[in-house]
Amino acid sequence: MADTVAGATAPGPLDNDTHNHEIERAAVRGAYWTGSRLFVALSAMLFASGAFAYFYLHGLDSQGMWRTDGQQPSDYVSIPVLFLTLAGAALFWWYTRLLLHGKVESSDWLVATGVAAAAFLCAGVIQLVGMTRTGFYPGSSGYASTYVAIMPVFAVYCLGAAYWLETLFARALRVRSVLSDEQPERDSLERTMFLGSAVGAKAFVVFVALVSVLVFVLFSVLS
Amino acid sequence: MSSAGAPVDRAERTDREHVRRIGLIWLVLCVIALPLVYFVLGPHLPPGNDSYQAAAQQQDNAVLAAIATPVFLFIWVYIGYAVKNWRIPADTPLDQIQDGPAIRGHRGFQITWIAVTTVAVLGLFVFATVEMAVDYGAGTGSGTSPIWTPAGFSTSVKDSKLLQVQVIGQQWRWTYRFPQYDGVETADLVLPAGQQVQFNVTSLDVIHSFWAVNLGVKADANPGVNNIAFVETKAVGPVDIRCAELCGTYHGAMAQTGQVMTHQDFDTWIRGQVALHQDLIPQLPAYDDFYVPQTDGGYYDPSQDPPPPVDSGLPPASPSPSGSPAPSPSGTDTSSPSPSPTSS
Amino acid sequence: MATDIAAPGVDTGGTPEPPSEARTRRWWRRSGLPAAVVGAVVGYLIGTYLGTWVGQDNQQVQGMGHNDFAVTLGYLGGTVGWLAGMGALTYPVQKMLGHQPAAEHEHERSLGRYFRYTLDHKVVGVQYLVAMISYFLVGGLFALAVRTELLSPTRHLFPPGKYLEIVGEHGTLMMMMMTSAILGPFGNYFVPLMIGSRRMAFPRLEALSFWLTPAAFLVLLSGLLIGGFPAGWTGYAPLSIQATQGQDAYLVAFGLMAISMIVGGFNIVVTVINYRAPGMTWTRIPLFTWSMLVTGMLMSLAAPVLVLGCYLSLMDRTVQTALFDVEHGGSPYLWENVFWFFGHPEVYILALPGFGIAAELLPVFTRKPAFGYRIVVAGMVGVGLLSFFVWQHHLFVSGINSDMRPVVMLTTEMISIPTGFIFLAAIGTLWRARIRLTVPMLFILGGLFNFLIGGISGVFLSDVPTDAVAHGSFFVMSHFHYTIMGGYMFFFFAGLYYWLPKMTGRMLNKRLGQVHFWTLFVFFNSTFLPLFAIGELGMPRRVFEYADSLQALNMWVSISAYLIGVSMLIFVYNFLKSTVIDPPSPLPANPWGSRGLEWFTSTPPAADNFERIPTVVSGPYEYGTGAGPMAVFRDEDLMQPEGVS
Repeated sequence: MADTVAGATAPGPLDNDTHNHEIERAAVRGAYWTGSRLFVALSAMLFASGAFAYFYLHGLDSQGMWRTDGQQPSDYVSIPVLFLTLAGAALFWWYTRLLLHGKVESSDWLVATGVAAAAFLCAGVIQLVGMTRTGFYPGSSGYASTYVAIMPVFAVYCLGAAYWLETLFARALRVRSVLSDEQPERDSLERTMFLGSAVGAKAFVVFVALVSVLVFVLFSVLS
Repeated sequence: MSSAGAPVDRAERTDREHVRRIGLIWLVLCVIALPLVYFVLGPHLPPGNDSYQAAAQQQDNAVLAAIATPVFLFIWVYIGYAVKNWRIPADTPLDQIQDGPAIRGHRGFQITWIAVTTVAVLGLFVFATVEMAVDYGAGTGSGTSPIWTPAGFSTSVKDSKLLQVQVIGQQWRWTYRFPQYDGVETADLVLPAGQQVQFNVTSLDVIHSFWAVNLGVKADANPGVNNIAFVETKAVGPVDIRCAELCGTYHGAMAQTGQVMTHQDFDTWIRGQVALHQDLIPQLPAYDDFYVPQTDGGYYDPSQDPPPPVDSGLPPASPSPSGSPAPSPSGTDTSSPSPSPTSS
Repeated sequence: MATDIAAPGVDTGGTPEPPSEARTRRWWRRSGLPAAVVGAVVGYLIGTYLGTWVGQDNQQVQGMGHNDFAVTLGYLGGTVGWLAGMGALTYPVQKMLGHQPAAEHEHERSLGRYFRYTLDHKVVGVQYLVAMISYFLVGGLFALAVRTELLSPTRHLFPPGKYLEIVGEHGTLMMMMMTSAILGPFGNYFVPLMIGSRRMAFPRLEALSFWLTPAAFLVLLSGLLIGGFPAGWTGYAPLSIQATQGQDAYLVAFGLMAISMIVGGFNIVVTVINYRAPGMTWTRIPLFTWSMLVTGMLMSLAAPVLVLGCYLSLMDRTVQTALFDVEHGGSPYLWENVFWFFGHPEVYILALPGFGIAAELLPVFTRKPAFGYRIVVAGMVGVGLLSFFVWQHHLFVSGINSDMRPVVMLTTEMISIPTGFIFLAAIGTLWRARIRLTVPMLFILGGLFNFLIGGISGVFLSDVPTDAVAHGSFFVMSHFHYTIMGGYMFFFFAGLYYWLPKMTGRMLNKRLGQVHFWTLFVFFNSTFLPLFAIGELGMPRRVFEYADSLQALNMWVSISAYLIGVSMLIFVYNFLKSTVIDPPSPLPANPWGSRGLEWFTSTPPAADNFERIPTVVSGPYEYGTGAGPMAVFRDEDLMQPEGVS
């Protein structure tokens, strides 16, 4: 190791804790950003392979059994689910964006997050309940099979979005300081983690909303 | 510990001398090995010469082996040379180890390497594609609509000039149907010599793979799919048949021996088979590309399953399964000849 | 202050407690292995009960005559119970209440932490190491059973069904568990040390990825108790749909392991991208870390497809969807495509970590910079990217659209170009070097020799006409054993012999290590080289009967396989002797004289790796350039010009 040279004129070094803290704060923020995007990407692979199954079987139309007449999920299931996911995502995305720019009260953000979490929860539950009332047997056609296979995965993702938003909601309720803009909370690791998670959740709920549109198109729009 | 400065090896050879020595050893070995591989080993490589497709595969094997030989030799010669000439004892104390020269890269070498490997790979690709085109898929199962077909190929059996042999795989045996001979189904594969054959490979249950080893034919047998493979037989001889895709317990037992005979012998044999199975042939399902049971009306209704055996412990088939709602297919009643699925 | 906020979290249930109180909790109330076992049993029973209750009189579930729903739910319930008992679910539940994670028992150096849900990546690394060696040995025992059966084509040790179960267990154990054999132990242990970080990005995810592996392992083995699975490690439908309940064990186990891969790879990627120390630029990252990054990306992006595939099969088996049933609108090709879309990146997940270790160790034992650093990185990234475009070469003879085949042949042959870059680097690094033939270096050279054979045999498979001969035969078997066992496992051993002194302070015995290497190398080649010929001569894979003419070769191969087993015993003896039974005296911190950053920590490294995050000033491969150490640990040292030592 190098020896200290006498007469160094630079400012004194930071103590270990401060030095580490600064670097790790940036790392944590980056980790949530990278992690949420990577999680969206890997989830996209999951749903993309599901969509592949749909289009592949559609193209093959084995024995003419891709879709028998009139197979369609109930509108009482597909439309509320689509609406709830889109609304929940839009609400959370918009209010979090405002929060990060400091343009909204934390209580407003809390309400928006709570409502969005409830919306995703309802969407997931409605979808799962709807699985028991499809009106067609799972094995009756290729379409029915892909529907019965893909929709529960989508419902789990809605519940996952609800969970993530609920944890943000609970965290902000329990430790109000994570929402505060004043020092020293502003530079604390807790706030960094909280905001990092919120930014990550923004990406995730938008993703879930996009998947919701995709499955709606696949199963309720395309013939 | 590290120290700057170029270290010197024993005999003070220059880079160029090292390259020359390695190159020379490699060249000599290549000159010896390559002809051995291509001309001596080549004609004996699997799968042999019993059909034009097998010969093409054998040729391809020989070419690949010939290209691989200098690659192997180069790496082995180089590593052997390096370990012999540039070695220091493994237990040299750390403070006595001198670093080697700080060579981070060498543009010429890197570019040459990339160029050579790219050219070799592209060359192999072109060679194999041409071979597939010339030999109509080179014996592989080429799917339902092959792009390279021999003259005389037709999608309809009637117009085809090739001998049509449908290979039906099931757990756990092969059977063969000849649509041009009344659709007779036989348990043995017999083919005429010097004949263009079209195998139509399909399965009745799980995925199998029809592998006629010395004819160079390998085509997966998929249920509901007609997998076409072409072969042109040469001389009289046996045919080794195996199943090359795991299909269950007796996958290993789906092995048999077929026969390539002269045209007259084949004629005699096939007519004999038709006569033998005269009563059976009308009862067979009509010859088709594949055989999948058709269900009336289309969808799987478990309440229409046959009742389970008395002592199986399963509940008798109930009209409306508990826990799931009765399906209400709107508007299908007119088209469905089967009884209505709900009757509770 | 910063220490307890950044510190890893809780391993006690319920609300966070101060460390001293938590430690005094009775052992049966704490999370840990006993609780996990209880949780697994309870979860299994609940899952099975639920599945039976739903599926009992439900014709839709009973369609096949047996209740796969109950079996699947039982396994999943057992896994959830296992994880809950380990303490994996406490933090997620606490988050719902908005709690702050509590500090782990800091600086507890007892042996007990190796059996807990720990947040120290080094402990996870050691857990992985022991686990992976165990899984490998069990898988190897199955291999010996396979080779015993194949001694004779007519005399059978096992009934055909049982034999297939054993083949399937061997293949699946290896392909499933060994994917994390390098990333798990060495990636998790050393990546933070190599990039100068005090921790991993998501320590809980890392622990989760480990604790899923025993669950997957036990679920897979338990399949033998319920009839085993007949479809091999590739699990082709419709055979997998037709199979009895043991197939559910395969599907659940593979799904769990895929989740473990996703989570483990995800963690490594995020860590490498974000937790690099100041000065650790992308061109100074060690090549091993690059390989971990690319492998992590492949795991994260390819394994979800496997999860979907296993899930679709389970759907077909439990609720009778018709995804793979051609009669009702499905297709067996769907499974082939989905499985191999994962399956091909999977084999590069197996190849890349080996390349990383080779690239990492060569400079150390040649005392030269890594030749062509950027080319090696380009090669790894290229292989990773291209690996998503070649999967259809597993379907060459399956009857897919024949105009796809030349395209896939081209991409597959092209992937051999970036694969060759590792050999380019090896050749360049060996040029005029100072080669020390230590045991790790022997394994590197042996691994390169084997991988060359494996890689070239892959060219035979990428070429459609020659694939017609080789597909589904022992040629393929030999190809992937050469690349995975001859390459990957040899590089694994190289890494083990190399890094064990940093993990434990003990080096494995050199003489025994040399014996291990030479016996393994000789008998490995004598086992698998003849298999190329056997395959070309017409012996398919996974068969219990074969042509009489091939018996002599098969006997030779089987005897060589037993000798591989002997070699492994030598290794196990060496490992146990050098670590627990009669360890040699502890070594200095850097016995190999490497420049790598991980060697500039204590042995074993402190709980937080570095007291102060270092600043990196040069790369890890600057041998012969006169550069000073890679990083400085005190800000004062930054004032010095480079080169003062």
